[in-house]
Amino acid sequence: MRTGKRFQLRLARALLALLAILMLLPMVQTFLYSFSSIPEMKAFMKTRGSRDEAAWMEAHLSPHILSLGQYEQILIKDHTVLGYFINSVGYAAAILFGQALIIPALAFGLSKFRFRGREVIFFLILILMLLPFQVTMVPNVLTLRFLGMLNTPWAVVLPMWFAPFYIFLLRQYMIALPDELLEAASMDGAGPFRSFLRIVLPVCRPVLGAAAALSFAENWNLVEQPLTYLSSRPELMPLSTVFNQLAGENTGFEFAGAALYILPALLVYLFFQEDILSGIQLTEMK
Amino acid sequence: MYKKFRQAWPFLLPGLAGLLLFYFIPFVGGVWYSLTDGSFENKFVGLQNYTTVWQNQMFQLGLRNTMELSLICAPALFLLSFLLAAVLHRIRPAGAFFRSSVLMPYLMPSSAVLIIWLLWFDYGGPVNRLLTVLGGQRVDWLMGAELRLPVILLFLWKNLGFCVIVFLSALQAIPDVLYEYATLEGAGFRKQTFAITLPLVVPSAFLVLILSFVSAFRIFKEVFFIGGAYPEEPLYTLQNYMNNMYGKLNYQNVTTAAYIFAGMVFVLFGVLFLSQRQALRRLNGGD
Amino acid sequence: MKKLILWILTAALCLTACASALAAAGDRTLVHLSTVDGYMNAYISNVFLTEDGVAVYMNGMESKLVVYREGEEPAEYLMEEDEITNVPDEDGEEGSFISSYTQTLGWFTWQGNMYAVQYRSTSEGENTTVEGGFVKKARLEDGRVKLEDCDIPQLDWTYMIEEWGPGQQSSRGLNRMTVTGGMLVGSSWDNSGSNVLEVFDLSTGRAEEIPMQDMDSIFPGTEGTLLMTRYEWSENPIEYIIRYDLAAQSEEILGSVQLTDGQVQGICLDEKNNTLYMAMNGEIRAARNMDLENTEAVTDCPLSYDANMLLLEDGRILLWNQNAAVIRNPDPAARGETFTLTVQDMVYSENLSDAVYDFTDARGDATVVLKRGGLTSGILQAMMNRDAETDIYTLLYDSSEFDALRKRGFLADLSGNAALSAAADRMYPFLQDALKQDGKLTAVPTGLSGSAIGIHHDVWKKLGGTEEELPRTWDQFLDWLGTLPEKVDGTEYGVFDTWMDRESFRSNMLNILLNQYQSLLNEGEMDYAFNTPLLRGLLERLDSLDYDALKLAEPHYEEDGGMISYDGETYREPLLDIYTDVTLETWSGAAQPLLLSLEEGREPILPVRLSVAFVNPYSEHAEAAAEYLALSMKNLRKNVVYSLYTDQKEPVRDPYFAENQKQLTQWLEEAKAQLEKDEDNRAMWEENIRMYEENIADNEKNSWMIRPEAIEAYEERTRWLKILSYDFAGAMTSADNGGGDYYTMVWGYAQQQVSAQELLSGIDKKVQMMRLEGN
Repeated sequence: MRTGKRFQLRLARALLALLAILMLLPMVQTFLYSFSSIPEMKAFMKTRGSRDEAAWMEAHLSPHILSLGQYEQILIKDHTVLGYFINSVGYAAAILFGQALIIPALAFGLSKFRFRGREVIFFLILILMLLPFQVTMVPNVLTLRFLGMLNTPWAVVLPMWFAPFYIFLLRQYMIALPDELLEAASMDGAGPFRSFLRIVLPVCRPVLGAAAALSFAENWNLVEQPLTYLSSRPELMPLSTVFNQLAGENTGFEFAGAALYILPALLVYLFFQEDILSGIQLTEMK
Repeated sequence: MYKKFRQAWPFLLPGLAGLLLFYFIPFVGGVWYSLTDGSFENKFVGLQNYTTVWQNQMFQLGLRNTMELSLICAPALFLLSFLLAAVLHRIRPAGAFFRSSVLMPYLMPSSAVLIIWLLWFDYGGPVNRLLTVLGGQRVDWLMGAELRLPVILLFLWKNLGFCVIVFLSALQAIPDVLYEYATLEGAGFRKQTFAITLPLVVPSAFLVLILSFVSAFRIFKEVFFIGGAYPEEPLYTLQNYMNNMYGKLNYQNVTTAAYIFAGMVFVLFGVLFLSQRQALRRLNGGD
Repeated sequence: MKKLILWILTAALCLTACASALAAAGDRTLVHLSTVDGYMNAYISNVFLTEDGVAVYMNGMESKLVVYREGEEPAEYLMEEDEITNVPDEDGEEGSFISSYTQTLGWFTWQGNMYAVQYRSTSEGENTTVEGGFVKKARLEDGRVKLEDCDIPQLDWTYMIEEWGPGQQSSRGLNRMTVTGGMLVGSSWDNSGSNVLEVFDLSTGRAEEIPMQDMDSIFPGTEGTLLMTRYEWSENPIEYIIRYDLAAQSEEILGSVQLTDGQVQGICLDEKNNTLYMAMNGEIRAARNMDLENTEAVTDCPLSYDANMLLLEDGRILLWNQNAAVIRNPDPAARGETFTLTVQDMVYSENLSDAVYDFTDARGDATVVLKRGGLTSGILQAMMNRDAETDIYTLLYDSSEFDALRKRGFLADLSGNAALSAAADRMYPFLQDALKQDGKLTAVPTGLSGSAIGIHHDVWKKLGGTEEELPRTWDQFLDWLGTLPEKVDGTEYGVFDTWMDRESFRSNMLNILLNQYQSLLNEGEMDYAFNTPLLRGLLERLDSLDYDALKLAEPHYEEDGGMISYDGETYREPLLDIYTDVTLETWSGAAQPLLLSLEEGREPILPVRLSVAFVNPYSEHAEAAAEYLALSMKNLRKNVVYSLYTDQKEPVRDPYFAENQKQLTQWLEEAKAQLEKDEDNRAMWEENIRMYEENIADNEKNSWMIRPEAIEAYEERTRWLKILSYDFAGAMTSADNGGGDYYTMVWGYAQQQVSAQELLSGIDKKVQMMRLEGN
């Protein structure tokens, strides 16, 4: 029985290792490819789509010549990619900023106050979470146009400030917080706002970190909203919408662009990993 | 718990106002569009739009594809993540690295990863190579119905992490003591699973199932990148239909299709919700 | 008593009403040289202010100066004949001459006088030399412009002389001449082609050349300064307004304008009121107190492209360019009861811009703002918004937006306008079908064209071919093509133009075939699919043509992407022309379209692409808009007019025909006279006479703008003309967003990398989906 268990363990670990490699491989490959020179990449990408039964695309696990050519291209020579990157950064920052102001407050209101209709509102928010973008696309365009925000960055940023998923996440976490905390605070004479700032938020740190990281992941990868709301202002597009074009044109530096784009997400991930884990663990998932 | 409703206002107001403006009102306001005909006279046509859209061949194709894809993706995600979570739970301390690595793809921008993904599934790429090594034939992954597989795999790759974590935390939340106690009481593995594990996991399972479906519906983003506005037939989803109608400025059809879709989503989740209730009742009652 | 007062009051009211009806008081079109005939008989090369009016200097058949004085008829003054001398060369060979001519480069006013700047070019044998910078004072007398010597010294012309070959000199032009601070300034170019400012000191004649990069245009400024515009290109282009100090050679940036569409056509500074006027995008905008961020539209600018602006004494603005000079009043108060007709011209129609002048002159109460370009997607959205801002739009008939607007009823009914209805009724049936919906006229044409492959019948005759031998279907055509290399072998003719290459040929043929096929599909008789044996068969046959025999070479591509296809072969007159227009052509060398049908038993189809103008159904000035469109129909080019209406039968002579004939006859007479006198050179004179007589006959036969044969041929083929309507295959180019590009497929086919099967099934797949989605 013992060997059985150890064998099982070994097998499990082996499989998991394989899985882990598969999970990480795309990113690793992107980074590797980003260090090849541009002509090398162009030639490599040209071998795509070949119907030749005899030939395979080379695995190209490492560049023949280690070169910073791609990075040079996008960082120094041609600033278009950088421009889009900065747009992405702008959007991410603006969205996170607004969300930070609005969503914790809303979640707090929906969890720690008792009032009629609370459950109804929450239920409605839950429903909204389920709908894909296209469902509210058209009326949103009209609303935004009415507000004069269409074709401005606000069109992309503003609706994201009220994304239902994070309201859900935070609210579930806050509901699990013991009431004693708040009672203690109010006995000390703190009103709801102070309790919110001084007690609730610090306690919620893990889930706030998790929500921030997840939100970042989502808005770093925005595609549909910019394409719909910013259709006549291509210069405002974030980098996520541009990749297809870059790869299609076989510019040679799409991997550096991808690497550059993955990098912040990677950093966010590493930094907030623990928070995400603990945040999810402590959230009531009912 | 604060009882005074008045005090809630400042917290609720900005959020609710925004939700109202950008989510509720558009969702409800779109009804007007679905009931008129969009011409110069803009006549009120009642439910005519609904019948036209419902009978439209492309709408049906999109609907069929969306349902098929979700019914493949969501359960697959659900089962796989549960399995993985169970395994990780078993090997507990050793699983930390794997746990981290499985979560990473969730945070990666899929648009950037797509380039590599398409390279893997290229006709002359590593996946085909592996296939031939294993004795199979090369497959043209990027054309036709076969394109579904890379898309599904990308979906799984991305979303596995989050669901695994959710399951894992649910499993880890069950105190070992319970199991030990049950073993002492003489309960076998099966009984333990049904009496302890499952009931405590069902709520998280429910959440994961919902999340799986929600993410499956959002698969459009990647499909759009790969296939464009008019991809291969098996990948033409409902969102393609809506997007294209939007491009033609046929707001009527977009909103109509949207409501039909929303209706089906609600039905689906209603069913899931009810069955969760049922399951819980059964499990807890049958204890 | 009461009645009298009432009368007086009524009279006063009427008078003021009249005054305001003639509002935008002082708006006038001075000159508008229209291009209705397709030729510009004259062009305006300079406009300047004289003591009592505005002088317009026109070059063309005759050079003349026309002065417009307030309240008087325009006074014309002919220029003296250019001084041409022809002096026998003493030192040169026997019978050689030294000839020279003097040309006026431009005009300027200074200290109350008008001056002309001239240069003289002398040819002696092989060499041509230029002397320049002669300034003559101009005096207007008896309908002539008399040039006299004056005190201004000869300007140093060194920088203006260009050596374009050994011993060959010419003078550069001096544009936008203006005088400031006692200096004559103009823009020109230097040896490397870059912009320079030429500055001449009018008291000493000294010249200076100042390099000016990125300079868009210069405008007069106050004493010693110039105003300049500099265009900075980027995603959001900016136009800088700069004040340039000549003495210090320094720039001062007065401000900048963010451009959304178009460019700043002209600027003008009103120092007194500290306002900068800018002409852009069909309007004149005023920047009060030089605030360029907030400009106000004050009046319209009917000029397209460049506009020079001059401020008149009374504050009105004179705008002029090559073909028009107008006066506009920028004072918003003077506008009175006017409304503005906004036209969004997305297909760049000439007749619309010409009609602006006619319309504003005819109606004192309206101005027209003509905007060019713009996004077609904006139109549908505007309709959904019930937006009344734009009154008239132009679009291509086969664009998806127009199709959507048409189907959903967003085109205003123009039948109410008598002129338009009458015009429509005179049009050929194929046009009427397209422009009318349920008997109502909803759009009017602004231009049309159609591609087909054409044959030069005269060449075919010379090769010994007959009418019967010409193919009637595409299959026959491809067969027939195979026989052509043999036929032209050894003759001075080739099958195609020497510079035609394989790729262009294939892509054009594909275009023509697809358009024809699309028209056929639109008729609804066949199953709506592209990947059919019929089309595939034709394209596959196209693949297997013997291109080398047809002398269609593969194009060579340059490193930087440029393409060379001309192999340097000697020129051979071609039999076939792949860029033949199916509408009425205006020059005599054109080929006639081959009438080819897609298969046996079908009629040939010649697809025509139409661009139309229509009125916004939400417009608040629908009637005025219809009037404007009626005027625009009058301003269509002759060949378009002949293509549209069934009652145009009269051939039209080349505008220079009469002049040329007169000249030739005169020379003929002179030669005949010389023949009598100069017996020694009898042979030479007889030769000359013969030559002149031949030329006169040739002219008589060929000097047509619209030939009688062309009219006949066009009339015949109107049976086969079809207006292209919404084209799915073409729509794919805009519907695509990643993954499978229509253009790459088409180009791939042209380059023989994509097979016919792949191309058609690729098109089909997307087209079927689009069709099934519905609109």
